[in-house]
Amino acid sequence: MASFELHDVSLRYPIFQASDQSMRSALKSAVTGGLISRKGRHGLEIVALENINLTAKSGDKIGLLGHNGAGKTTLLKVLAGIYRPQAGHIHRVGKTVSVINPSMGLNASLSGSENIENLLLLFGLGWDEIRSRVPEIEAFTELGDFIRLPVSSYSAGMRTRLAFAVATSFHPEILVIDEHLSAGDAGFMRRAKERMRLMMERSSILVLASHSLPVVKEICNRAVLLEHGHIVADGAPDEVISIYQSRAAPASSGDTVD
Amino acid sequence: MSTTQQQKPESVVYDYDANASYGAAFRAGLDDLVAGAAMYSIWTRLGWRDMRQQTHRMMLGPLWSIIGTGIQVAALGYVYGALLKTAPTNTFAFIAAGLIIWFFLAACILGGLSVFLNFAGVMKEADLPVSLGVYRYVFRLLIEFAYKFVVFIVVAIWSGLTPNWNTLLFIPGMALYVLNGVWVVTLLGVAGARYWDLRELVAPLMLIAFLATPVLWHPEILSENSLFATLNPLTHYLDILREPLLGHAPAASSYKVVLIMTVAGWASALAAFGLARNRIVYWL
Repeated sequence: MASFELHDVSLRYPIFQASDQSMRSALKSAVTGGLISRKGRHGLEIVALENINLTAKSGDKIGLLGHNGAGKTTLLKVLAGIYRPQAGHIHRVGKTVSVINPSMGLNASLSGSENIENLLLLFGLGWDEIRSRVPEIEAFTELGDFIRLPVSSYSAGMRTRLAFAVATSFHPEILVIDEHLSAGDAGFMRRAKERMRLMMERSSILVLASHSLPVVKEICNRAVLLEHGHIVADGAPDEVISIYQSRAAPASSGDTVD
Repeated sequence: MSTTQQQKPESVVYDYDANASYGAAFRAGLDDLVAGAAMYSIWTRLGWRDMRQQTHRMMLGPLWSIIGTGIQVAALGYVYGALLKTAPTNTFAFIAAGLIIWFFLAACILGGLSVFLNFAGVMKEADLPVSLGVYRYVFRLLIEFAYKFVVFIVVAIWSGLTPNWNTLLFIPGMALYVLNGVWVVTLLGVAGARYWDLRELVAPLMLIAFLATPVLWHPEILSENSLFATLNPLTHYLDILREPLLGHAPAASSYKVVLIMTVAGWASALAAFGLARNRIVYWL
């Protein structure tokens, strides 16, 4: 049985290079985003998450809503164990895979297949398992002979396809995923959506950060609304979405709500 | 701060408490180093890839590592052989061994400072042992060392150096190098990730260290000033690996210094890593 519990989790990003002055002016012009505090020991800090309490059990498919900078991706990274917050307690049971920005791990001078192997290595897979998985992933990318060429010769869309194919080849118990993964042309998008749906359905807990309300309505059975690093609503998708829309409307934040 | 990751037959548990004691954080750092080492199938492959990737567009590929060292040894051996009246016997073998060993020492120090910066892309995407980046880098350096070592073998054969029993001391020397390489890269990796200025500071200092360490000159020529060379720990590191290669036994004092450095270095690396393990990712 997969599950996770977050108790009073707070996370601050220290900002080392920014001067106080420039950050103050950035604060004035910021319409959305997290809170900037100057109380930190090292000077500036961005408050990304504050007193987050969140529990999930098997079967929960959570849609994470919120403005840009509300803390969605940070919360995903905390769940994945990538960021260790400065306060709070996390207990998580179940094999977890996070798909947040997979093309970040691509290496332009290596070939497509070598990159697939590299990414799988970094997901912690053994060599035998990698060997057995590579053909299926290569086939899914539909990159043909390009798979043998260095990634530097790929178009942006081809790179995304490669990263997407690797990232969606896992079937973990807990899946933590950022929805902005979009992958190339219409034909590929259709197959990509199908593959992502399969991946989400097979996981026993899903946490999906998304701006697309139809996707959240369709896939999730629970929604969580983040605002300035706080959870402001947690419940059935329809209710949370209507809170999100009512709060977003007057702010005219520029977020697309479709 | 602490983290424990346990592999159970069916479930994977991740437990993190931000309020845990320093002792717990220290153990978590230790766990990270052990877990990273256990993933050798990953860091050996990534290390090979890093090495190959550096030279993938060159016709001669990693052979350049050998050729470059060969040219350096030939030029410096010729110049210094003529320059220094008290040139050590087997000038070329002495300089070849010195330069190759210096490459490893300097790369651990200078490259160590940016080891986590180069690993940032992965660290911000996946929950992997942070130490993986350390092992990957040290392994890559060992591969490059092995390539460069070909130059020494050629020079040694050419200058008629015959192996003897002392040569076997190369093996414990190499083991000490690996053991020390890991703590140096870990400690400096933490320091370099937190204070980015260090890289700029240390790069010119390495040139001074190169001149101050008997890589090209023999410590004996400093007769009255040899305290200067004796106080430099790099002298002793050089000694425990170069002397066996030249068929001599290293001084017992060199082993003492290196062993003390190993223990003190590991202690400080573990202390720093325990403090930094959960924060490094914020610094990158």
